Amino acid sequence: MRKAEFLDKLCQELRFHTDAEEIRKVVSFYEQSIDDRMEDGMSEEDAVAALGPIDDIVREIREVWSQEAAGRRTQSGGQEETETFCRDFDPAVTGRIEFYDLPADIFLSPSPDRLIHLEVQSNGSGGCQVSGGSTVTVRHMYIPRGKERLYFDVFGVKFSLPQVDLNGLTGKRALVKLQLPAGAPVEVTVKSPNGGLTAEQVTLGSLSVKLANGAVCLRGVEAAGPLDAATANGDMSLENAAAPDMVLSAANGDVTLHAIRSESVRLNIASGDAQISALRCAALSVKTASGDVDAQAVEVREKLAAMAVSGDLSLKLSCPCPLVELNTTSGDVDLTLSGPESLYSVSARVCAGRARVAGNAANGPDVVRIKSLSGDVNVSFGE
Amino acid sequence: MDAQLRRGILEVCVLKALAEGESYGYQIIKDISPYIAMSESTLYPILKRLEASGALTAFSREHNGRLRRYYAITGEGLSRIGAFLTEWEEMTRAYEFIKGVNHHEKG
Repeated sequence: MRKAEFLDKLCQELRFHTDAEEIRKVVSFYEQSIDDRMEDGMSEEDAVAALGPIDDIVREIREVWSQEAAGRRTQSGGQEETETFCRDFDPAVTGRIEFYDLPADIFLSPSPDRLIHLEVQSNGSGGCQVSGGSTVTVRHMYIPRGKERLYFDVFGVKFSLPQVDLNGLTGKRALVKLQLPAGAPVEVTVKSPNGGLTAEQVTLGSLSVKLANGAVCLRGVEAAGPLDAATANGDMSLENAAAPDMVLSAANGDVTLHAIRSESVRLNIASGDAQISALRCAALSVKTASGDVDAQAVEVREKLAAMAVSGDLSLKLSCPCPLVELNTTSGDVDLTLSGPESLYSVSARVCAGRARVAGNAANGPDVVRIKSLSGDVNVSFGE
Repeated sequence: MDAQLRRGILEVCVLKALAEGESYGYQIIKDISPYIAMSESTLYPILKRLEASGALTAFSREHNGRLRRYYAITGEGLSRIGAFLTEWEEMTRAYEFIKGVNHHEKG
């Protein structure tokens, strides 16, 4: 590597630091070493090589800066500036990024180049070391009792950022930004006790999200593999999303699905409502306890199964479906099937409610079975 | 070896490299390397720390049409070398003991 290339690369790796003068000093230190070695008789390539791998250099420098910052902080009594930690990963090397135990809001967006960019923001300054491999794991973000620092480690090496609101984790959290290059099949896993996930206009290998207290918001997201999203306390909103396999769960939140393409979609809600529109898939399975399900312009090519306890099911299909099975305890069912009655064999069995099936659909090849204990059932035929 | 311990020793080595007169990065590495491994990545943080603690001063001077950063030891730095040598006399005796060389006859 030539001197200019080495110094450029070093600059790039250090550009996250807030003090530009300090960066200049470090780069100048290494430049002088190269010049001195060349003066000693070494070739430019040898002089650069003698410095060792840039990764090692960057790691040492970051360690120095973080220790200095920690020292400054104890002296100044906590004046914070936002500091950002950046690391780039080559998708040819890093195929998985995982976040565990993360009280942070995570944002996924497209990368401006062919690299994966990971950025973590928090107030104050702190140290970090990141190394990459085939899997980059960001885990164990926590605040130790009595401390004002937010800890997490990436790929086995510890990050430590000061100043996160100690009043529970509902105040300011860290912010994690992950930028993914188009066309790179990166698999992303997120498990967070306190934080939401937002993804916009990204393509992924796969996405697995499990949130305890946070919302899931996906816009323009395409996954080559499975898309699993679950949130205990938070809403879920997917717009323009595609994945061969989707499993979506919201325990206490509402779910909104719009413009979804998939093979198999499984949706589980408990007390929140689900609003579905413009969904195209082979198989759709919906389970709800008390939440209502409203589905419009839904194309299910092979099988539609829905189960509700007290929630109402209001489903309007826009293409013929060979098998429809609906089951509620006390919830009402309002089903609009696509195509003429002659396509269908409808059986609607109610115990304490009222069943109304428009026309006479008894002999068609497509089977529709509806059962309700005390809910009313209404079946009609649309376009 | 304990990282802290190693760093402490390297710090005194750097001070020693400056004890005879001012020097610069690559020269310091050349002076120390025959005795103990030292690279720029190790040297940079050591120089920073020593400057912050007043054991050396840093200044720039022109050399062959470019600016070179020089370091000079202070009184504080010199006394650190002295303190290290005193403390480590006992360490060298312990080292000899472990290695198994008898300097004294018993009895």
